[in-house]
Parts: sequence; C-alpha cells; structure tokens
Amino acid sequence: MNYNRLIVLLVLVTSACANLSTVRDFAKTSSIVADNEPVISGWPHVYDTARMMAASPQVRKAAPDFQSKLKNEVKGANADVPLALEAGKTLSLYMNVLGALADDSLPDVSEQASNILSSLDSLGVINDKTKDATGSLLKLIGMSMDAWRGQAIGDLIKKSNGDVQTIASFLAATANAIEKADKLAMSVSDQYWEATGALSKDPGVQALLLRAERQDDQVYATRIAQADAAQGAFKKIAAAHAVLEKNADSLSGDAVRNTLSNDIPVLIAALRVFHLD
Amino acid sequence: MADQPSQNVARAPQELIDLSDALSNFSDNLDDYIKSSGDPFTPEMQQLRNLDTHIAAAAALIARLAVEAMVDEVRTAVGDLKKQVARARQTLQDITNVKTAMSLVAAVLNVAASISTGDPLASAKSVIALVNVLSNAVDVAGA
Repeated sequence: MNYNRLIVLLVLVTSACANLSTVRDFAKTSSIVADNEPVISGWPHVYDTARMMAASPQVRKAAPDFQSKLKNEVKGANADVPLALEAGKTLSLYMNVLGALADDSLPDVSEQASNILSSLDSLGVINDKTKDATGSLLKLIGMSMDAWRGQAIGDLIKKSNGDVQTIASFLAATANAIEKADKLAMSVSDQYWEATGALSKDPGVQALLLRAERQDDQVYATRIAQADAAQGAFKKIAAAHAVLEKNADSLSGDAVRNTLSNDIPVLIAALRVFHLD
Repeated sequence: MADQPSQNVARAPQELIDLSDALSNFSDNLDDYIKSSGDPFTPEMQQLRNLDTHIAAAAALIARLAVEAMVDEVRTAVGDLKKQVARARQTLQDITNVKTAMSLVAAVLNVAASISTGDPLASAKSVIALVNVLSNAVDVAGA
C-alpha cells in the first residue's frame, strides 16, 4: 500500500473543511447564557421582602401606595416570566444547533475515507491508477459534506437573524426590567431601615439599623449585577449574530473570527456573574 | 398583563427603556446622595428617600411596560425560530446519516479484506467492528 499517497489524500480532505471553531464556541456559550433561568424566574420573587417592609407602619405612613404598586409589579412579572423563559429556551436551542453545525468534526469523513481506501487496497480491487481516482472521489465526498454543512449554516443564520434579534432584544429588555425591579426593592428596603432608624434617637440603634441596611444592599447589589450582566450578554449576542448574518457566506473569515473572539470573553464573564461558569 | 393596559403603550419599547434608564439613573444619584449624607434619618433625607423610592417604582413600571410592548412580536419570533431549529436539526441528522453510511461501507469492506487474507483472528475482529457500527447506526436512526 502506498501510505504516503494516502496521507497526502487525508491531509487534503481534512484541510478542505472550513474552520468554524469560533462560531461553535460563540454559539455554545450563548446557548448557556440564553438558558439563564434563575435570573428570569426569580423576577416575581424580587419583591418578597420589600412587600413585607412596605406593609410596615413606618413605610405606610410615608408611602401608603407602595403596597399596591409592588403587588401590581409582582402580578406583571408573573405574567411576563413564562414568555421570557420560553424565549430564552428557544434561543438556547437555536444556539445549540448552530454550535453543532459549526463543529468542524461534523463534516469530517477522513477516518471513514481512510478505512474504505485501505480495505479496497487490501482487497486488491484497486491498482495504483484507480487508487488515485478512488481517493479523489472520497476527497470529493469530504468536500461536499463540508460545503453542505456550510450552506446549511449560512441559510440558518440568514433566515433566523430577524428572530434572533427580536428575541435577544426582548431578553435584554427583560433583564433590564429585572434590574429595575431589584433597584426598586432595594429602595423600599432602604426606606424601611431609614424610617425605622428615624423612630429612635439612640445612635447605637441607628448604627445597627444602618448596618442592616448595608447588608440588604449587598444582596440586592449581587442580583443587580447579575441582571446587568444578562442584559449586556443578550445585547452582545444580538450584535454578534448580526455580524454572522452579514458574513454568512464567509463564516471562517477574519471579520467573524475577530468579532467573536472579542465577544466570547464578555459572555464567559457574564456566566461568572451568574455563577454558572 | 398586570393592571396596566400594555396594549395602550404608544411608545416604542426602546423609548420606554431609555426613559426607564433615565429615571433609574436619577434614583441612583439620589440614593448616593442620601447614603453619603452621614445622617439619613433627618426629615429632609426621609423626604428624599420617599422621592427616590417613587422614582424607582416609576422606572420599574416603565421597564416592565417596555417588555410587554414586545410580547406579540416575540411570540411570532419564538414560533419561527423553533421551525428553523427543527430544520437545522434535520440537516444535522442527514449529515450524520451520510457519515454513518460511510462507516458501514468501511466496516463491510474491512470484513471482506480480513477474510481475503485468511487470518481468522483479524476476520473475527472485523466482524465485531461491523456489528458495533451497525448497532451505532441503529441507535442513530432511532434517536
């Protein structure tokens, strides 16, 4: 068997595949970000403590309408969460399938081609002349598989971009609304502790209440940072997908690689804030 | 959704988001001012805190209305994207099927090549490999 010839053939088959590893990495990371259920599903519970605080006499005296306002916000959040979760799951599924198509091992049939060629050679059904022709045919199959995958992934990105933009913008707006909800809950908490402190003239008691206020603030600050990171990540996904759509016919080119190389670390940083890394 | 008539929201979602952001920034600045005052228990600071909470409430409401203003468009997009995902999955399956078919051809030829050499051990290994490839192919087809 002429192994040198076989190796050259395999190198040709392998090198014929487009390198879409950055697209795959972007899609896989985006899939995890979009499936970020804890931030979204926690939206109606943002006000759990704030509602109790708003019901206290000292807060009711200053702001008698807060209780009903918070009740309405909870009702609204409960109504909005299901669609947001479904949108996130759908975007996650899309990114998952995009990542699978962008996996360069998918169209790689070099192993199968090598085995077929080797067996045909062992059987003696091909000679040196027909070996070249058979090798070329198998190489053609490998290239066709990659072209098929390339066509499919380009079509998918072009046809889905409008929907991806709409859903990613919606999820960014949802994260924004959750951030604002957390800020409102924090304001109610601050008002509760400060109104309680105003009832006492004892500096020691006031210091303790201020400490409790700061501790509550830290809890809210963590949630606000998560919602903010989610908002930024969804905006980044939308912008990056727009770049993919613009370059759908040359996804292994520099424009896509450079953009995604900058965006992927931002998405990974967001996952760290969600504690999902 | 909730008590607010989201269908009556006249402004574009982005305008609502911008408005909510502006109010939220103002609320943040008020919060910073109160907390840096050193004494948030004075009547003046209490009034400012009450104002801050009202502004934060308005920011939260407007941000939620921006979300609700997008609902119809998003429902359509979710439905459409699901269809695209289904098509892409079919393409993935088709490509996998071709690879599986090539693996089957390779395994069958390998058995034939092993038998032709007259080595019973190599032949047995090749048949086992063929059975494994067939089993995987059946699994893939059933998935």
